[in-house]
Amino acid sequence: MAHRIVILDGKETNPGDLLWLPIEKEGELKVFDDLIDDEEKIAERIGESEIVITVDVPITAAVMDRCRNIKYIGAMATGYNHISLAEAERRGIAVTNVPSYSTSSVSQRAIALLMELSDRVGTLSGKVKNGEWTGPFPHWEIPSFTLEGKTLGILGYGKIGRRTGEIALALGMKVIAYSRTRQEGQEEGIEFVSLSSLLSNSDCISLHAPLNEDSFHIIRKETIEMMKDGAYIINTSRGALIDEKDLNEALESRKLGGAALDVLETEPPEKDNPLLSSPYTIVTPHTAWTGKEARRVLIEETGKNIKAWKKGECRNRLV
Amino acid sequence: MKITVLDGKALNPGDLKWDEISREGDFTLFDYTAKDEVIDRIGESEIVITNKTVIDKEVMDACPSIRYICVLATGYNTVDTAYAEKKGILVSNVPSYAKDSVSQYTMALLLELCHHIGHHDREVKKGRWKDTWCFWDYPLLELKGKTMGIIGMGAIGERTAELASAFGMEVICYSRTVKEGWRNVSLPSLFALSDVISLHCPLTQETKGIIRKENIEKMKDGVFIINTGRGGLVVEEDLKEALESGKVGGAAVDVVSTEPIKEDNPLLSAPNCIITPHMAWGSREARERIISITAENIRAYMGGAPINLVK
Repeated sequence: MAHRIVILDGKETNPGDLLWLPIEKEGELKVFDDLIDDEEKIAERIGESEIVITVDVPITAAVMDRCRNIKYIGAMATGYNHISLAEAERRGIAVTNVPSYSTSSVSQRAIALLMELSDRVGTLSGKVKNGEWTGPFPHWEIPSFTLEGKTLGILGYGKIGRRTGEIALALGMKVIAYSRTRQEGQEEGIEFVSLSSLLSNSDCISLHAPLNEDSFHIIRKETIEMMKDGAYIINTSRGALIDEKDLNEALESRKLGGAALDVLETEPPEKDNPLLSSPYTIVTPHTAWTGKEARRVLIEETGKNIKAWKKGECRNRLV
Repeated sequence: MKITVLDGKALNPGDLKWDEISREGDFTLFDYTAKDEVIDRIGESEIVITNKTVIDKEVMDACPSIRYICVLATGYNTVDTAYAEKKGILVSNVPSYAKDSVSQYTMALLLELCHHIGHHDREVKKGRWKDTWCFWDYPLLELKGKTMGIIGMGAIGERTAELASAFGMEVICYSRTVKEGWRNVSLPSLFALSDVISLHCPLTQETKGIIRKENIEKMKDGVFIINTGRGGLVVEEDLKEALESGKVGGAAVDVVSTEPIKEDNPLLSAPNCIITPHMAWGSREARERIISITAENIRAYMGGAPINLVK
């Protein structure tokens, strides 16, 4: 008998431009769109399903207790902090994630944010459409700068950080990186340095670290003070890497030149988040991962994980 | 020696110093000079420096002291060079200063087409990001594996090709002379194979209106077109029509047929079209370089061995 599969919150991954086929062929599929967090409603959506796919819907012990058929939980994402692993393990439920699908999407976005800071084409295009290209002089009120010769600091050197560094090298930048596990030496033109050296030598810092106890608010008053005057910050990783109040103060005082953020500490953001009204920020709504190709790979990998589990193989297993 | 800058603000709004040039003589700087003020302001100057102010036959005849004209740019169509030659007036330009600036800007325009960061930033700041943990109005496009077609492989075109490669793109090119080290194709092949077409050729009889209806029809559905070259390379009505039908998926232009842009320019109301006000050349570093190279031009002229002359 075919397994019953439920996707609890499929809309962000596939708003309708992709096929669910890689998952559909593993069983009888039911798809729900929106994110919910009410345990009763979650249990209703799961019903009798054996295989549960979740992007961000929490799967707690209570949900597992109500839905006794669950044998497998697949995170259709890299992060899995919404799934209670210990409870799954106790019940003999398998859990998987998709560790890497968005390297080129996210690294491309990090550079796109960097180039919006350096060239401001999005801002300028808005001005032209607004009828502001009139006088004989160009719009120098937001001066642009060349990236060539500037130093990009990569904070967190995983696959995405590394790929971002490679593109920056091609743009003629000097690239330095801080990794918890490596703080000296070189790799293909990228120099590894200590955190304090990264902070004080970078013209622009791009965050690619996972969020954990060590990295929580790693960008805060004390670390900002170590940075170059006028430095820029890019965050495509997790909002809580930055103390937003401190960042806003540093932007207001013009200690920092600007910040381009795809993630915020609270999402969707609170209305009064000062970064949303600052002239020195570029904020995009957590979309760095949403390349169509990246989402296609995410669905394929999720399907492959299910297939492997059905065969009794261990693929991307967390439990 | 009297040196006069007619329209300094077009290059330097005040963030750069003129010292390198001003120390070479009796220096006068004007921000901007209207057509009817040109002759008066040049007066007895021997060296005239211009960015966009026109120096024609009338001006040269009325100002017999002019011996040397420096154009603060690469393009020198603002000076009647043929007449200058007849009068024995030397003309110099700044032949190459913007390679990095323009190629970087070209990629910035392409990334804006892929990510629509400006649009999403405006939407977020209007308060749109409130019900879900993420939203997007345009899907993000990955460049990896896409084909970049470059028309015109001069210094800027080739640098752009290098940057496109770094993003994982396949590069093909068409240029009047074959460019070693790259995949050179015919113009019809370039139209047929490219996901993105970027224009880096000069504006000539041959290239005028190269992006027009009949050529757009040869392109892939959904192609992106980027123009940091000259506005005249594109037939704007045709591009607008193709953007409206979706044949062209997006366009990003830093140059238009008439600048500043006219209110009725068809691209202003075209969908998926990014327009910036002729800024690609103007990074701070590139503008600094223009001043330095012009100072070198003047020193070489004074030393009796002028450089970067154009005719």
